Amino acid sequence: MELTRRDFIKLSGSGLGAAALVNLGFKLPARAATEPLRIVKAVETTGVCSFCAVGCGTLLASEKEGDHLKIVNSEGNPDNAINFGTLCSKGSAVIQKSYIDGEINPERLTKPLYRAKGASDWTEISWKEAIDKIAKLVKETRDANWIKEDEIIGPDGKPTGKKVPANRTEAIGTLGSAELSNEGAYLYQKFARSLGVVYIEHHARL
Amino acid sequence: MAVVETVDPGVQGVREAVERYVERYPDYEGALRLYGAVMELQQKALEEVGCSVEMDVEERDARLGTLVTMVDAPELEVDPVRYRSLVKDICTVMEERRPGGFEHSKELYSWDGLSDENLRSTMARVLAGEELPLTSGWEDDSDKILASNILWESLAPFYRKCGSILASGMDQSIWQRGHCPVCGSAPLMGFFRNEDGLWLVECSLCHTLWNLQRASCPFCSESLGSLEFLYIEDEPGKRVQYCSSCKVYIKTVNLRGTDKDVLLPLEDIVTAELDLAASEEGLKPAGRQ
Repeated sequence: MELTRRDFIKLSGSGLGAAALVNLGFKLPARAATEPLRIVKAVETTGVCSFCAVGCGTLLASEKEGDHLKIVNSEGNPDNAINFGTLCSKGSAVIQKSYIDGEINPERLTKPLYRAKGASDWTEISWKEAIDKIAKLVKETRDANWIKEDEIIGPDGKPTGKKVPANRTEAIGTLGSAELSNEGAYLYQKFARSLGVVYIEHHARL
Repeated sequence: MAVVETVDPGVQGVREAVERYVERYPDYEGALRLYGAVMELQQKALEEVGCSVEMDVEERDARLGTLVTMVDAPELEVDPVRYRSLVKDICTVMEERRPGGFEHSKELYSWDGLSDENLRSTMARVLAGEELPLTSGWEDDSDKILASNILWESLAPFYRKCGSILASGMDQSIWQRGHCPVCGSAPLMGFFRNEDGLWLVECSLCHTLWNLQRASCPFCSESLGSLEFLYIEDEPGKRVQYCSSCKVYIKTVNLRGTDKDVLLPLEDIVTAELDLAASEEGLKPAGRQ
């Protein structure tokens, strides 16, 4: 048994601060003595703000609501070496990506949406369907715009008739994420280059 | 580098805090005034005691770097005369302010276990939480526990003095463990700092503040993602931070974005409901594994 100030109250050794108050001879506050406590349980999870390239650390508090967790608070993570607990006004509102005034943000996308050619409305599709469509369009675009060779231009600015392999497409561009780590960004550009994509960009700016 | 200096409230600070707490929590008035009186005695003693441990910053940081606390708690030199005097004063507070008084008061402060020869072994027992060898007339276990607690509280100023000197300027990132970097005792309670939400906890013996990671358990190896919290519905600013793996908890007040001022030993009393709630959930306070 290790004694702490809590034990100073807890004469019974029962593990209850309030019971110890009784044992010291003090009366328990009425509520603790008579009413069941309405306990709320929650969990705090570390995250990274999704808005800009700084990548500030966040702490998201979530409470159980039915079978899922509902985010009830977001704040800067004081242990994060990038922001030491601070967040900008935009980052402070990061919770609104999920909830606005306690209600689920209706603008938040939780499933892939598809708008067919000529259609004015979006329709929900499955992730498999979405990934298959993206893969098909990438393949079609790449094949239709494949540049297999480049012609060598001579010193006089005229084609020499000689060819060199090019193996690229200029019909696709990519935009990476500022929230990717160095390693993630490396893999992302590696994937793009393997497709022959040469327009590789990034939104790492404020 | 995060540096956190522990500020002692002083006698006047304790008095003012007790009045604030009594006004806000009148149901706890008796307990608050009793502990307030004990804290006043400790603050007075703090002005008179010294620290026998000398250590430069390099040596301190080297110890902490190898997970060794700054002070080997049972080996600390304590002035026996000043110690006995403080024990007597706290016993008097118990006699006067505890409902029903404290019938063993005189027996305790004149006990042979507090003599110059026996003090070190008594200190070791108190710090280890072992039962005191009090015999005739001490049949009631609760009186023995109260005696141990009085002896514990009487030690506090000696350790606090060392903490105030040795922990000054300490880089908080060196430690971040579940026991005090100065004396190795368990945390009493904690708070999230106003300006940045840094989680600071206060030692139950030397009252030094130190920093813990917000989302990791400082007590067990299953730390990442295991830290959860609970609160009582109408008081979300006060919570029990607990580990879902090892079930150990620390009560914590969220001061982030507020201008509130707390004195954690008093806050510990008025958050007794949180201990009840934690107990209902099968949790154990830090230091009672």
